[in-house]
Amino acid sequence: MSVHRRRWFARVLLAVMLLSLGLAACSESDSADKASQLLQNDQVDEALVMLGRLVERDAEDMKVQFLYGAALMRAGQYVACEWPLRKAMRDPDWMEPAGLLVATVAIRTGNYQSSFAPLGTILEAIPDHVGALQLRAAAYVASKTHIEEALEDVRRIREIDPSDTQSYRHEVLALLADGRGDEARSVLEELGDRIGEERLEGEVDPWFCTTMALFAFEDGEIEAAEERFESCLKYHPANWNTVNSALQFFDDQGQKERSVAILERAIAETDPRVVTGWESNLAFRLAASGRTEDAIETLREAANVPDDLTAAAFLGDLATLYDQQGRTQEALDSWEESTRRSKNTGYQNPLQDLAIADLAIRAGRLERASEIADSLTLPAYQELIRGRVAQEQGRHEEALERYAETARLWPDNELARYHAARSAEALGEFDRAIELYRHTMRISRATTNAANRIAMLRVAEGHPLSAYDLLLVHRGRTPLDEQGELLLIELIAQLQQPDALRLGIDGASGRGVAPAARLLARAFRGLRARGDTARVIEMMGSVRREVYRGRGGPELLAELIRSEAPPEQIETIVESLLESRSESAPLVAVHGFLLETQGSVEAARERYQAALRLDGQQPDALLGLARLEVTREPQEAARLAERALAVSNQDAAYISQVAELGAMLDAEGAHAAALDLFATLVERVPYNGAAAEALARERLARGDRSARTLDLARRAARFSKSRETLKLLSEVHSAQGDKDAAEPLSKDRDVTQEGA
Amino acid sequence: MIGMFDTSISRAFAALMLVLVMLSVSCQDVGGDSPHLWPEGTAADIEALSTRDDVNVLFILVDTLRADRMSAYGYERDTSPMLANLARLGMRFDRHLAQSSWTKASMASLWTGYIPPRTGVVEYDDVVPDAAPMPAEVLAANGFRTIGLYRNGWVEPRFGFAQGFEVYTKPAGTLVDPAVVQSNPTLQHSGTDEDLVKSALAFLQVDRAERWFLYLHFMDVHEYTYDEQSAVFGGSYSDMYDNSILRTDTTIDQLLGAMMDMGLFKNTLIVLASDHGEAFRERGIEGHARFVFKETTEVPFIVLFPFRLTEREAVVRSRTRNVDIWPTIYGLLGIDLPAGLGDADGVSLVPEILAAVRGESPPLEVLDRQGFAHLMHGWGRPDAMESTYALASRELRFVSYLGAGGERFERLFDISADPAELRSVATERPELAEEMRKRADALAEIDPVWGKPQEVELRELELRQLRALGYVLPGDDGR
Repeated sequence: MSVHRRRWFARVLLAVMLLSLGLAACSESDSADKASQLLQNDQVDEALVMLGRLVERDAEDMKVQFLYGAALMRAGQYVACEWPLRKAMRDPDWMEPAGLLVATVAIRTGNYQSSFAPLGTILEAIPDHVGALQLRAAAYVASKTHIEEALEDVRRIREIDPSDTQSYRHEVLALLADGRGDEARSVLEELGDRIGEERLEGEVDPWFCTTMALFAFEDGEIEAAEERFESCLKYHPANWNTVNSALQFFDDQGQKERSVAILERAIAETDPRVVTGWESNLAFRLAASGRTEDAIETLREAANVPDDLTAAAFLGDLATLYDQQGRTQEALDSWEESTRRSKNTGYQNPLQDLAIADLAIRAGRLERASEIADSLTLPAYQELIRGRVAQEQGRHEEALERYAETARLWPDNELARYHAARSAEALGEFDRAIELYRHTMRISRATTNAANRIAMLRVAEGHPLSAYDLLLVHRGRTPLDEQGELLLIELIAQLQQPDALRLGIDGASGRGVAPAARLLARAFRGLRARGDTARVIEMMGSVRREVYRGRGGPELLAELIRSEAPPEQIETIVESLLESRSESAPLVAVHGFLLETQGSVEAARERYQAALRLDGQQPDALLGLARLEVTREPQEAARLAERALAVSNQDAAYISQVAELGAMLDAEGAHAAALDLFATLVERVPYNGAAAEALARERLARGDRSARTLDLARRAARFSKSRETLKLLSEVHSAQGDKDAAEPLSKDRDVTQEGA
Repeated sequence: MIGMFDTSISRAFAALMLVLVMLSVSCQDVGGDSPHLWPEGTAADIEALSTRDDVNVLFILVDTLRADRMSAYGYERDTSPMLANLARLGMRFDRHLAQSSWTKASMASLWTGYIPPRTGVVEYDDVVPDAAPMPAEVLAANGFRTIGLYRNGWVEPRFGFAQGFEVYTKPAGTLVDPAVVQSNPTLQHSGTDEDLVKSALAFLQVDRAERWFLYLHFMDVHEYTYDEQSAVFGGSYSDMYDNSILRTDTTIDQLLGAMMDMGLFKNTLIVLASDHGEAFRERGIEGHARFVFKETTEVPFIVLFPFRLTEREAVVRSRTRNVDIWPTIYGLLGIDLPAGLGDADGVSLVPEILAAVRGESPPLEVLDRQGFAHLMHGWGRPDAMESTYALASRELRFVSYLGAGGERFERLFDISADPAELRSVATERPELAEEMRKRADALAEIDPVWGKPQEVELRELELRQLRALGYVLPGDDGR
């Protein structure tokens, strides 16, 4: 066979194959019955493809139109399903089932008015169609615009079927919507009588019971409402409406433990195949009350189901719970598992990937974050993740470029702006950082701590008043997080506003934003900053003993020690607390600090070491031990301080202690160790003026006239503003040959910090 | 390439492929219509439209679309390349005025052909009167299936806008793709215009064989909705608004592309219009429904015929108005003006269209045409009923409005000399200002044609929905 012949043969073969494919496209194997069978077998996608072909072949086959509409509805394609169903309605044989589906979709999607016409058509043909009347009455009620018509449908239903009780619900809701509460109450009582007489079962009974309880609650009859709810729960412990209404009621009454018990019973009484989400509700309540392990167990058990979507949802909640507890690695593992399960169902949400990448970065798993970025198709998401990775690796210029690209693609992404601000800070571009933080806040005030960051920068610049104003205005619009509230309290104390201080502490404590002990500690720190330790001692007298037992108690005690509160009083409190909590690392560390201030160095060392045996990352113990090692092992002291810094979450108290340690090392002649520590400090806290000053001086002394030296000198002049730092900056400019910049700086006499 | 093969063999192969293609077409498109067909046409074809009984009407209303932000209207940013291309093959109206800067008042005028004081639909609870001849009623009476799909609460059935529609519904809002951003700071919405398009295409898939009128009220521009592909102009609200126009251009492209595939371009009259524009602090004000300066009233009007006009770019350059749209469509389709529209403010623009297509000068009488725009300042507050209004010719715009203290101000702009309309020439040309003031004042005071409209009681639920659109309503400011 010649080459030409072989090609001809190949072409014919290809053509025959195409022909057979073409014929298959309209094969007789496509049929309404077969599509119906596919639907019955839950093969919705296959049915949809077949029905789509059938519709194209014969748009006047109403059975096909009905099935096509029903299949689209099953697939959740509500915007598309109504048209084939409406077409099917034109055929008397399909009018009723198609009309009911059109109406159901309309109601389900909140288009109540669009359900009136198809239901009207059905009722025109079948006036006694109770199902259509029930549906229309429900739609009339939900629309809030056709109340009389709803009541008319209810009357008609009772005429047709005097035994009907479902219509009572429409009637009560219609009367309530019309502001006729007394009539609604009468109807409910009538229903109550019938329930008593006929011992009705099913949905209407718990609904009645719960509605009566809610009526009592709305009337202010709290005891009667509680009694009714308890009665409802006795008979309907797993009814959705009853349980959720009861939870709201008991929460409002402050009976959180009762709510937990209600949820536990509801879960136990519910068929495990029914998804209610109550497990998540319970888990977060348990975690809030300190029962973290029970909460985790609840969600793990809930996620142990074959249905992928359900499991994915619970695993997502488990991840959130872990994250809230600071257990980042476990949170990451749960998210990964959740995503795997949801992807099994074909559901894919890039936001999930973004959440995983964020966790991976926070867990230090940068390679995993990069993998996720590579697997995504949305460039904005990819750039955001890659920016975060670059940032974590200290490549801030690259990070800024990537964030800029993210912002271009997704202009109101507050995270891109926020992280760009963090990178700008790291590069010493503080004005740019502040502008980016402001932009972040304009997009969303709640998602990031941009307000706190600006406030911290303002404080570091010596402008506590503007930081105070900013936080106060911010709090007027969005609740501050714990760090924000603590900083605000410290600023109030520092700015000499005693009345505001008391109100602020009580308010923040009452709102549960931060524990009282931590609030007091920060207030005392603010008072100490302006030298008012007498006021600290005075306020200490009114601190209740249980405050020391709560979260932040050791922090408060440490602050009191720094404020030179009577040591014997502190000792009494610490020893009393240690009797019941000898395994508390922060408490043991505070004990060490107390001993250290009393000059018992070896005893203090033992306590710090004991604290570190309980928690190897306890920052107070690390810093305490570092102080004790300055003269003996300066390198070890620097290492301990760096470890403390790594876990300090940029807490100003720890930062100042680290800076002090650096100065101590320097004073002891351990210059190299001091410089290493300062370098770490500047890396972690770009606005630390003391560290920047020390580094800049050292660089200048060895003739380093680079841009980095200038950057450090600028930071020193900005955040530790004094004649000395301004002179330093001027000297760096001079060393760089920039006389114009050096001259005005050297003449600058405005070195006063902002006063209160 | 073909030269490599024996000619007879290639022909046989081609014949076989042709059979295959025909088989494929006959299986998949029983109607036998070849898709992708949009023939060329002339002025004569436009005139012949009135004799055809197969022409459908697709009416696309893009809410909040300013003409000067569109590529077709000369915007320096390429926000709407697809529509610009289509406009070149259809008819574009260069200076087109909406009759209000608030959707409800504007749409009542657009549908009825009367200016707002004459429709009487000027307050938040006014309802379009039953007596108003609505296009859906007119087209239904002429054998059209009438379908309306909307996403703006101000055109809901309760306000009388469903009159004549067989189906008038708001498609269910589906889950919005996480990559899609709805950034209008005053809004909180679900769904996007893709829902409208999906629903429209599902309707056409099932019912396109019958003659239809499909009204699609797009909202993505109102919501500044954009996605990654359309996020190209920057991060300010003005930039995001441009992003959303680009996205809408793509969304409409998806609709029209599918219609082209269905073979519907050859028998569909496609109209694109808008109810009002949007201000971006040109005069210190953002948004719409506050004043009737050019930013919120100069809107696009584009018509695509069931054929392409390729001879020359057809542009009507006289002053045209939204009230002219339906008299024009009736004129094109050969539908008699409905009773009650005899003294409407809108007129048929067919003579100008024909003149533009033929490259002739427009009829002389249209050169003096003026457009009127109106907004009741207190449309959401019954105790503050003063109006702001504008009278615009092709060259001039007179605006009368209230200041913050309730005092009335006037501005006269020379549109040619000052396209941004920021410098009033009222003191330099007092006679002209006086003449336009008299006419504008008279139009603002004119009585409603159908009497004072019925008012609908809005319940809290509806008020909430309207607030979600960013409007200030009774009770919002303590009144």
